[in-house]
Amino acid sequence: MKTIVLFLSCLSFVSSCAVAGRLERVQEAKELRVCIWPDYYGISYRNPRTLQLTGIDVDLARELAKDLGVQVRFVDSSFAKLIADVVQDRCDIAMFAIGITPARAEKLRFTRPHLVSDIYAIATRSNRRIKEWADIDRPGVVVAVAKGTYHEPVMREKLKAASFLVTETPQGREQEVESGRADVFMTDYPFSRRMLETTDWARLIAPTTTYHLTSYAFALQPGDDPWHARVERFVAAIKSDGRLTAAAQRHKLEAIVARD
Amino acid sequence: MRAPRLSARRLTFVSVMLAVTVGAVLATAYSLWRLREETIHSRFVAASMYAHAFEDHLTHSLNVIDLTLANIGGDEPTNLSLVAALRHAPYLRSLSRLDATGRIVASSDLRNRGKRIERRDFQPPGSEPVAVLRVGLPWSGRDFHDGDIAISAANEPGFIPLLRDLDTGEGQWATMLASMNSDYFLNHYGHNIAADVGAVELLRYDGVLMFSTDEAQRPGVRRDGDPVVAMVADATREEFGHFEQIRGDGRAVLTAFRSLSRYPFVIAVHLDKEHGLAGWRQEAARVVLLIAAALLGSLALACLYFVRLERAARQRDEAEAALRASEERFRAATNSASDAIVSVDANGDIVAWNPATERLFGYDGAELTGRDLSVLIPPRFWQDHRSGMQRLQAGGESHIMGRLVEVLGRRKDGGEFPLELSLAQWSTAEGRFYTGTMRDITQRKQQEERIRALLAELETIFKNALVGIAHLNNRCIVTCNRRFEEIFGYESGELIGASTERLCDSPEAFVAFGEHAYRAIADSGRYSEEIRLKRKDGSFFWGALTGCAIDPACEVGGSIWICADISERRQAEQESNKLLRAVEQSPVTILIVDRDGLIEYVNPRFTQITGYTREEAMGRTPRILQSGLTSPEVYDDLWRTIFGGKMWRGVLRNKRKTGELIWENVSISPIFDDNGAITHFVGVEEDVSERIRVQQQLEDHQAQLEETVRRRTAELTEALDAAKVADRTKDAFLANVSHELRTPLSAVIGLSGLARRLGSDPRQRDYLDKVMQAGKMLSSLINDLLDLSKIAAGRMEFESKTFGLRELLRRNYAVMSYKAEETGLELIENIDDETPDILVGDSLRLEQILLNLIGNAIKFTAKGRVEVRVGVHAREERRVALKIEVEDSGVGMSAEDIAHLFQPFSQADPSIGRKYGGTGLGLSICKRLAQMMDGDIDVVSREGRGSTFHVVLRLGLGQAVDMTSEVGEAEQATMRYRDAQVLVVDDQPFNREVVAGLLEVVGITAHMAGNGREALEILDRAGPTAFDLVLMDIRMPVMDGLSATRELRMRPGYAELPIIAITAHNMAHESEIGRDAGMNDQIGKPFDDKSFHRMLIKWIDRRKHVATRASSNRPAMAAVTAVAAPPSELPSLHGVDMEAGLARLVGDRARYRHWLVNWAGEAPAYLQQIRRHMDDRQEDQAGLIAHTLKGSAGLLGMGELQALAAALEAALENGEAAERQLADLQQAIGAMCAQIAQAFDLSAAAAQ
Repeated sequence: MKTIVLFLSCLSFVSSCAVAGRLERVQEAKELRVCIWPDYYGISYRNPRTLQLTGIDVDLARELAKDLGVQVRFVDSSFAKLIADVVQDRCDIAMFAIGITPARAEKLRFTRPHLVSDIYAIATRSNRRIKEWADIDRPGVVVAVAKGTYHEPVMREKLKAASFLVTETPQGREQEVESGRADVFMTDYPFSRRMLETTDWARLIAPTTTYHLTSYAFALQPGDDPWHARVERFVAAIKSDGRLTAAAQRHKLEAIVARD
Repeated sequence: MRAPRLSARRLTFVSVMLAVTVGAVLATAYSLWRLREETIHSRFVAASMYAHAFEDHLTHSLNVIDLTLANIGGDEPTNLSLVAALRHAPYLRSLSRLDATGRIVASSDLRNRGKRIERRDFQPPGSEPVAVLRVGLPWSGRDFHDGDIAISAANEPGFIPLLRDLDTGEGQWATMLASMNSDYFLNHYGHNIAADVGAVELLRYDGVLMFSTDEAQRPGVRRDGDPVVAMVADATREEFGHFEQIRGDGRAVLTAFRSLSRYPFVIAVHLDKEHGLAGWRQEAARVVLLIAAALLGSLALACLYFVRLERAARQRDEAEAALRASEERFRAATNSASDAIVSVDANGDIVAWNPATERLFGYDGAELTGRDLSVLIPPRFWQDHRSGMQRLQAGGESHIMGRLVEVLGRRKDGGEFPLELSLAQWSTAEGRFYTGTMRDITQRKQQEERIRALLAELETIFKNALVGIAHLNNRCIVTCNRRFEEIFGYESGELIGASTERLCDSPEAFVAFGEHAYRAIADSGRYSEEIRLKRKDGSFFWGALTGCAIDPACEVGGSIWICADISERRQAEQESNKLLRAVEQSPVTILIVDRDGLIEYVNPRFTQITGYTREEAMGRTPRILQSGLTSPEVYDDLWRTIFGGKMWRGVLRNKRKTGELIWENVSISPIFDDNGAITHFVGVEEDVSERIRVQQQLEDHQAQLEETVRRRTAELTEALDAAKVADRTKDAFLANVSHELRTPLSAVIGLSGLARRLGSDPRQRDYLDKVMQAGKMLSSLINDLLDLSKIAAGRMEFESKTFGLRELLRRNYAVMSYKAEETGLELIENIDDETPDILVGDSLRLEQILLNLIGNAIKFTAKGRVEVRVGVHAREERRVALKIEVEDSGVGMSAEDIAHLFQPFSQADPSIGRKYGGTGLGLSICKRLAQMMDGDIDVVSREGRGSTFHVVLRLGLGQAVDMTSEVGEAEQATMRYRDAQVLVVDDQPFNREVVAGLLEVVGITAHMAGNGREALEILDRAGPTAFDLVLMDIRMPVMDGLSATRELRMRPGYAELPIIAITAHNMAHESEIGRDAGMNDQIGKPFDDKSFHRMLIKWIDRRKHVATRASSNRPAMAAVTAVAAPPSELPSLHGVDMEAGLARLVGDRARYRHWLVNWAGEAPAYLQQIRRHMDDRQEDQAGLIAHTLKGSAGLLGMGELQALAAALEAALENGEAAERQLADLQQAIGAMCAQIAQAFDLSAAAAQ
């Protein structure tokens, strides 16, 4: 009996160590590890010409580290590797506008959303098959999505007539569309901005009505309440003290700031 | 004239405007055309450049595809390797490998496998494998698996199959197939050329359209008629170029084409011409608009400008006309100007002038043209002129422009004259010019000089004016002359800026004066008033103020005021008014006529008397008053007298206007001017008609009276003679009574004194004392009565002789102090220093008053002091009111006593007479004497507190020549009559001694004679001129004085010799007796030194005996002072009035003592002689000796003895029994001798 009690105590101790350890560890190490997707334009984008990280979540990550009084270290990740990176403790937090999907919510613990985005389509400017949103879900139209993004399940579920093409990488969907093998690929608001601003061939096709809103938030390992609470406090802080809005304006994302 | 000019101008303007407009339109059109051509050209260039770029891009892509196919094809590529090769190749949709049959055996898209590809559709054509890239017909669909070679019905670009044979070695060929993504290129081309701008097409050499950015153009269509295809097909043609064409849709396009060098493609770029020209069109529209606007604006401005030019031209024309007119007028004005106007250029050369210049400077015509201005300037100013011109050029003298300066000008003849110059500067295109306007100011300068002189004159007047002049503004003094300040008593400059209020009598006077004076000035420009003014020291004076406004039209200009101190004038006016009123109100008629006898003034009395009004009388002669009853000689005398400058008096018979005759007492006097010339005559006429009427009545009565008088005169003459006899009888009677009273009285006094001394019974002595006192009192009463009788009869005479007051007082003091000492009193005498010493008056009477008052004071003062104060009560012109106060500390008097004090025969208290003696007449006499000397005596006294008598006497002030004083009368005599010869005739040696002593005092040696006979003998011997004076006793033995005088007068040469009687009789009738006998004067014994000396001065001939002052060493004065030295060695002797005796010997106590001792030695002998003569019945001789004794006793002050001797003499003269008198005398003389012997210790002296 005594043994059982001791075990439970240890278990709870370990558990509490693990939970309480995130915040303490961050503070002890004086380092906050933040998972980002460096191709996420406007969110966490590493400019290939300068290798500088820019984006709203990069700014917010730095703000969080500053609030915690620690240094920030960015860890490259992607939507495909997101859960693994977080769960496997390669980072303390994932901050690259992670859409809250049921699948992810099972594995991860999200903060309250700070952005919310609909789904947009990118076609070539000369594509004569797709003129408007309604042209997408038609027979013969090929719709590309990147694997691991929340678009994949959403579009898989939504498309009825169009062919559905899932590329391994985000670059793949662009190549498919540009080479004409796909007509459009689906993306979110920040990425669509990237396409329009960095290529001369892309054409944005926006849904005429709300198509599918997805909330973006920061993702944590599940269960670490103090850490989660701390990050939640941060989210609340940046929403109230204007840091979120200011960061969104810097990166032209004020249209999708999630307001409570 | 004006209208045609205007029309021509307008025509010209319109033509120019038209030409400009046409030119502008043409130029614009040309430019636009040129711009259009350039635009088209540039579109061609652009199309060519696009074509070139696209060809380059396509060639490069095809090269990559060719290489890719060549590279991967050699190794029998798998599906996966084909997929991998597609990476980063967006222009490819898929890569496939064909087998020899043309079937797809491997593909990046697995769905393509099994699809068969026909080689015949490819270009370049050929069935043999060649290692080149061949181009197939375009396919529709996404890839081979869903596409077809047919022309796509759908509007989609599809893809283009590319075939590549490649030598795998050893004669083996592999065939690779690629589906080229048309969309990639369309996207690229469309990105560069938008659909509305133009279209890009890719054609195969055989004219098949590969794809077109124009969605209307279907790929796979063969364009046989396409000029591009035609050009490319023609091998002789260029592989690139451009041209314009009309497309099937009717649109004009600018086409540039370029064929690929290695691949059977030609790229055509069609740019829409209209689109290309759209910019030009817009630009052209803008340009046309702008130019049109500019042109219109320019035209409008030009029109506006033209209108303004027109207006300006019109104005200019008008201005020119006006200018010409103005020039005409100006020239006329300039030519007619009196001022010289000369213009010079910048070099100073004369360029223009007016005729006045020629007149002023004496040049004519063109002499001045081009000449330097310096010809008009004196040479000594040339240097200044040149430097001035240089400064003007440099702009340094601009301030003198327009200002008036005075300079000197030089005429042609070299004469210089002052000029007033005003410079003006002006500029034209030819340069700068200066115009000088010059005015000859010679006259003005002269006037200024005159004004300056006038101002200096006025300034001098202003400064030296006898009246005050002030310039006032706002009632404050702006400036004033010195006299003005002096009048008000201020220092120089002290009044400047001050308000005139301080000069006014009062603030109210200041306000009142301001109101009416300035109102009057405002009305009439000037104002005058005589007003009371105030000096700085607060004193007031009358001033005459005359003010006038400097400029009546300008109030602020102030006013000029002239002020004169008229206090004196006013006073004179008052005096004058007083005189005028006196004249006007005079009870006598006063009229003033001029030299022509015309009446200029009559007073109201004239009107009353004559009946003529003043107006009627004025301008007429006094002849209107002539009655014709006055003889012409009277008038002749009148005019002669008054023209002779004298006053004429007379009585004129005049008539009134009514014709009524009147008598007028007339006095006419000439009136002289300052030069002594007669200007007018003043007549004073008194109506004496009534008086003359009365007078005539009187005369009538007089005639009656005269008769009566004549009748009565005889009666009166008789009565008068009787009265004269009676008067003489009365005087003789009075003298005799006096003498007779005094003589027995002397006997009573003297004998009672003797009896008292001899008697031993106290009661007897008391009785005798009372008898003696009563006698003395009676004697004094008789003297006073005599004085009083003289006063009452008005016969009291006062001498008017110069005397020294201080000497009189000194002598008086000497006498009275002795008396005071007797009673133990202190006598103090104070003489104010201011009191004059030399006075003129009767010193004896003064002395009488003094002695009386001091005597009274001593008498009524038991102890204490008596103070005599002498001072000046008041000074008059030639007199002085002497104030004498005698204050004692005696018994004093009650008010009642004082009331009766000065009444005769009254003493304050009846007991006084008993206690103190006295008649009670003394003060009464003194008061009368004082009153007769224009003064008075009063007293302040309180009982028991003493009395103070105040005496005021008016005496004449002595002259400097009378500086000889009293002492000085002797001194005067000494100096004058030192060597005079005087014969003293007296039977008594003592008398002779006394007289000789008095003469000796004045330096005269006396010659002595014992009687008249001796005197005649001496005179006979000496001759009539040997002696200057004879002093002769009346009663003498052998020959008395009267007889001797009569006899002497009868002798020749002795008529003029002064003979003075020395007599004990002191009555006026005695002097008459003496004068009857031929004596000149008399002097009564006992005489005092003053009267004796005055007598000497009076009678000794001055001319004969003027003594030189130089030789005078005043021995007599020395003698007097010498003998006067021991003052207090005289003991008191009963019955001797030492005071009187000493006075007779001029205070010489030693001599007095000598004569007292001498008398004591002689008196017993005289008694024996009397006894003997009585025994011999020679009463007359005995009487003579008694007389002698009487005289010597009187001289020595032995009043009692004198009285006893007189009594004896009287008894002997009267033939009465004289034994008793002789006995009395003997007793008295014995007592006296014993007393003297005792007093002077004669026994000791005798023993010696």
